[in-house]
Amino acid sequence: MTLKINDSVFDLLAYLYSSLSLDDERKCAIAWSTAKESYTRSFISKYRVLLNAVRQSSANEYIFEQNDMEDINGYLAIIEKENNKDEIYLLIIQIEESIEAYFQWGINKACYMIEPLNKNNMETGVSVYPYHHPRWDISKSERNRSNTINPKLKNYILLRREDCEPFHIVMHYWNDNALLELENDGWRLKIALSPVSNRAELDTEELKSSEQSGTIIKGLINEGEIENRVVSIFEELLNGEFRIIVFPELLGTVSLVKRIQNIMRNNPQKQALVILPSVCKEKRNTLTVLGPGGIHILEEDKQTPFILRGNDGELSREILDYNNVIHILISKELGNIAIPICAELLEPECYGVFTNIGMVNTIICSSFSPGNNAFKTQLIKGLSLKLLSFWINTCSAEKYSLKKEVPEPLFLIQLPDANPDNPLIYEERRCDGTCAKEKCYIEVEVVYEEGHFRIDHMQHQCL
Amino acid sequence: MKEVHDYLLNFFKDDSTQLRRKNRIFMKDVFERVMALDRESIERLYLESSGTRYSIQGYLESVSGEVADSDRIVAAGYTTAIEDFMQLFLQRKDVDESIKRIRTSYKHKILCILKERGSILHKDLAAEIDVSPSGLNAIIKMMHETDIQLINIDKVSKYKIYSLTPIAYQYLSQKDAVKETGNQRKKATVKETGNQRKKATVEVTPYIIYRECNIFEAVNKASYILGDNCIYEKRNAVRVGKTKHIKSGRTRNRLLVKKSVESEICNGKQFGNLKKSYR
Repeated sequence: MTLKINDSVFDLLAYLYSSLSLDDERKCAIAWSTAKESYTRSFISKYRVLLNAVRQSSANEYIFEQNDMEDINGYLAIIEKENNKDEIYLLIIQIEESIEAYFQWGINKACYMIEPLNKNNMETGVSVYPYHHPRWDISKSERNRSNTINPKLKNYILLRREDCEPFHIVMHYWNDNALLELENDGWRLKIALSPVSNRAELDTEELKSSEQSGTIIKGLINEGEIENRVVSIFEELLNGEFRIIVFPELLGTVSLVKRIQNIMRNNPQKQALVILPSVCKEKRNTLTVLGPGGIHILEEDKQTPFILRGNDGELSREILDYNNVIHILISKELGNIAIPICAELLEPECYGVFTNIGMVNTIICSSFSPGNNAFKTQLIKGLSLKLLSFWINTCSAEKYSLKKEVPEPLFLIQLPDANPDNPLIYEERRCDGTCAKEKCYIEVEVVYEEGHFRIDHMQHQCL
Repeated sequence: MKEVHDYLLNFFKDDSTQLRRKNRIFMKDVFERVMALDRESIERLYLESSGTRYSIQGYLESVSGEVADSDRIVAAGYTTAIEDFMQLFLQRKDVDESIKRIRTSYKHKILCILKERGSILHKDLAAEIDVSPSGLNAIIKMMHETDIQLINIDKVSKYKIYSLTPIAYQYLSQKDAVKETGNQRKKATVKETGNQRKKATVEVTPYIIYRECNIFEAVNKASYILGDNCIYEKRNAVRVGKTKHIKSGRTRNRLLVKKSVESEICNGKQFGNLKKSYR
């Protein structure tokens, strides 16, 4: 382990973290819980110069001064030789808390895909990313009982490549406070979830072979009609000052993305995070997220195919070209945000990477699903982690339901401090089975005040 | 002042002339608010002008790889710089305000010790500032009652380790007006009026203590030794340890001159009868 000229504190962190395994983290956390005063004092004294060099590097965006390199490499040599995991563990925590939050020194664009802050991520297999705690109390989250390092860090997270496998995490950073309306001792979030319509018809192709059967979703048969409806609903929601607007899966088109983007570009003062309906094309199910002004926040492909049981009892899966890439949006207000597409939320490996590795605090999930029980069960898990979760489905999924029924409820909300006896919030539809002519959406106002969540307003707008 | 919508820049709708005009108005408005040190108004402006930031990014995304209008690119860079400046200003003011709001006389001493020592155990910090470990709990609690955290508290086993948060470290590094010299004793010989020479004992620690016969003399010596640019603590902070008042009369007086981030120039009025201005 040696640092080179122009290496940064993040490279140092990555080197140190790469020498610990998950098992080591656990052992060290337990060891330090009963450390003696003299040992703690001698640790502080031993690494004083190194920590001082870290603090001083803040003047240079955390790139070490050339004068300090000899000292730092000297420390690294000692650390490597002694291989004292306990000291390495605490040193990582002490170094991390000496680094300012990213937005205080790493000002860049409003929103962008962010590379790991350490240059040696390929060499060490560790990536360092910024992290912001969400704007609610997470002191009772089970993460705080974890014996791993990341929950103990303040402004950054350390990801080991091997911990994420088979997935690869791509992070996006949003440098703004655009979602929450601050109020006395709290905030308010206006979110709209739209099932859109029950008239969407999927253009599908069955693929049958001797080994497996599958369904390729090629798009929508009535894409023009659905596109116009989505645009109409969107315009109303944008004017209604909703900060998060969520559409379901599979109801998107390529031209829809452009149309929505142009509307947002003409209204950059309207702050909204828009999760567009995903677009199916060429065996990819792609979801686009746009930010205020129509900025392109992220585009992700669905990684987990759905599996459906047909009328004949045969199972058929969605044929997808997936690449095992998971996207997480780092925000200053809602913490890390995951935007899983339907079955991704249900896959334990995917969910585990979001929550245990990616340190996600908010989940916004779009679905096109004939059922919802599995989603209910999965969202309830968010309680112990103090997650804020939203899920939206569409009535159009009734065509793929065995009972040909609309899967109710169409949306689910899980608040971080919900009562375990009543963990999810939802309402039944108001349209009595006849789809609204013009618009259909659920408007929700989530309020966080004096340390508690509540739903201040929830109404199904059916026009 | 203008309303935000008067200069909300839309890089898709506005032409180059409009962008330039709006940028100039925006810049002047920001300048006036900064000169007035009106933090709230700058924060309002920063939030309300967020549409401009997004319009810039959206425009740059749309022309990526294509030949772009150079005037718009320049306008985008200019506006981004103004926005970044506002963000930095707000961050700095937040720290200023947080430190001012802390209601304990130990705050500067603690911040200075942490800056010098890096990390320190609870018991050791209590000893440094000459309070009991339980007394330190109350002080730290007061220092934590701010929007911006200035002190990190790590719990290791049953012990607490304190260190400066990065923002506090940055702030102290930039605000220190007098170079720290650590614990040193200096002796200075000062020429008095009438060619009499008196010796002044100067302890240079986080505090500088001058022992002289009266306040006039003490301030005079401090000014001489530290130079014309030295700065003094306000009256209510002039204390040595637990001594809360300065003895009057011609007996020994101790003027405590703190090297403090909040020290302000004493204009004489702070000390009642002082007539000179020590600037």
